[in-house]
Amino acid sequence: MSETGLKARAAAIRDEQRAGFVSPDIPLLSNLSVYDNISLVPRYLTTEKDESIRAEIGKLLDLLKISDSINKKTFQLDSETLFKVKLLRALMLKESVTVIDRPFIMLNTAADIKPVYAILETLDISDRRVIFLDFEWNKSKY
Amino acid sequence: MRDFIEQFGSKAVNTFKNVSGFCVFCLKCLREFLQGSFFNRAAFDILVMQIFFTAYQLLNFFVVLSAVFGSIFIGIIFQTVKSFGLVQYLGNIVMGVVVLEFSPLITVVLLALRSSSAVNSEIAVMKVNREIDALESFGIDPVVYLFLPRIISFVISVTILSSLFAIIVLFSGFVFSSIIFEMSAGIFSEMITKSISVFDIIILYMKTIAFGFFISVIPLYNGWKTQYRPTDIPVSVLHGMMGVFMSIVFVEVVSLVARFLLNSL
Repeated sequence: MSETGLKARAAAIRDEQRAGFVSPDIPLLSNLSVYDNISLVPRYLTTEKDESIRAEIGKLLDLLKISDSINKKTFQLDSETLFKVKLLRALMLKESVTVIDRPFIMLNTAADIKPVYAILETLDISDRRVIFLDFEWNKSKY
Repeated sequence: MRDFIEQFGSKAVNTFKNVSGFCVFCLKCLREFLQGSFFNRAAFDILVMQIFFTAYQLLNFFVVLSAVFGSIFIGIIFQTVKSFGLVQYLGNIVMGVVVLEFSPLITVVLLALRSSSAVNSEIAVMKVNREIDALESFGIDPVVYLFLPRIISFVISVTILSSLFAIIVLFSGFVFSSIIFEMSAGIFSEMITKSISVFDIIILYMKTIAFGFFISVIPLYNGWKTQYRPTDIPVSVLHGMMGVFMSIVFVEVVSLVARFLLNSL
């Protein structure tokens, strides 16, 4: 898909239903820590208790083996951790579609999509619909 | 002639768009305030943090500044009052000049220099980095999460710090009055209370609220309107700070006119 096509498709998904976006165009907030970035969505949008949010995020960070980054700011993170944090933030929108937009821009060292699949399998989100948006020329990487 | 009319028309249209955009922005902030949106826990955390950054972090410096600057100023006023034989107007001069005009003005200038510029650049950087778009894409309203807590914290900070400045200056006034005029605490406090009306207090607090509102909402609006180019950040701060200066002058003039009209009734 062309860049214009990708943006149009992303906008269509956004209009259609609430989607959690993992995209190079949707950054983390640079003045917040990893925990604050992930917890912002449930703390703002839901009435879930803080303790329960903290426990859930702690569990997810443990699963992805990035719990040592919980208090780090975004500039202290490598590209893989940044991707994982963006994914966790998107997953905080419950009962929604998760859109992974141009993953190879965010994971610039990945040769194919296997590392992303591995992350998704670790998180065990089989009940969640995940949509990948990418350029035509990256088709062979999937 | 045609070029002149076109340029004039273009400027008029742009000014109208800017003013109407600003009014819409203010109304949206006001609507969210009236709906109590700042009680959202994520927004409330930002509110507490902003009060910490705007008022609490400044407190030590502000107390020292108020004590030194206020004492020097009140010392000069007392000497002038004594040399011109205007002791009977001492209370009016202290309350009218120092407490009602000087305290909020010094406070608002200090906060505008320190915090308004910081808020303007912070929001402009967030806009350029698409962090505000990121918030919107997750259904988080930037007015509720970013702007409203900052506006409320500025209003609270200006009001509290102005009151603190006034208290410190009045204490300095008491010390100087006992040294220069050998005045007792009872006489000084009686003189002060006699020279202030309820209208003065109302205007003082309305003024601090207006100061707090304008020195936050103007930089926020300018930061928010920044285009997605890093080169627009200094332009946004420049426009924001000019707007802040103009608003301080505007509020000061309006409050002086209001006081004059109310006192002449």
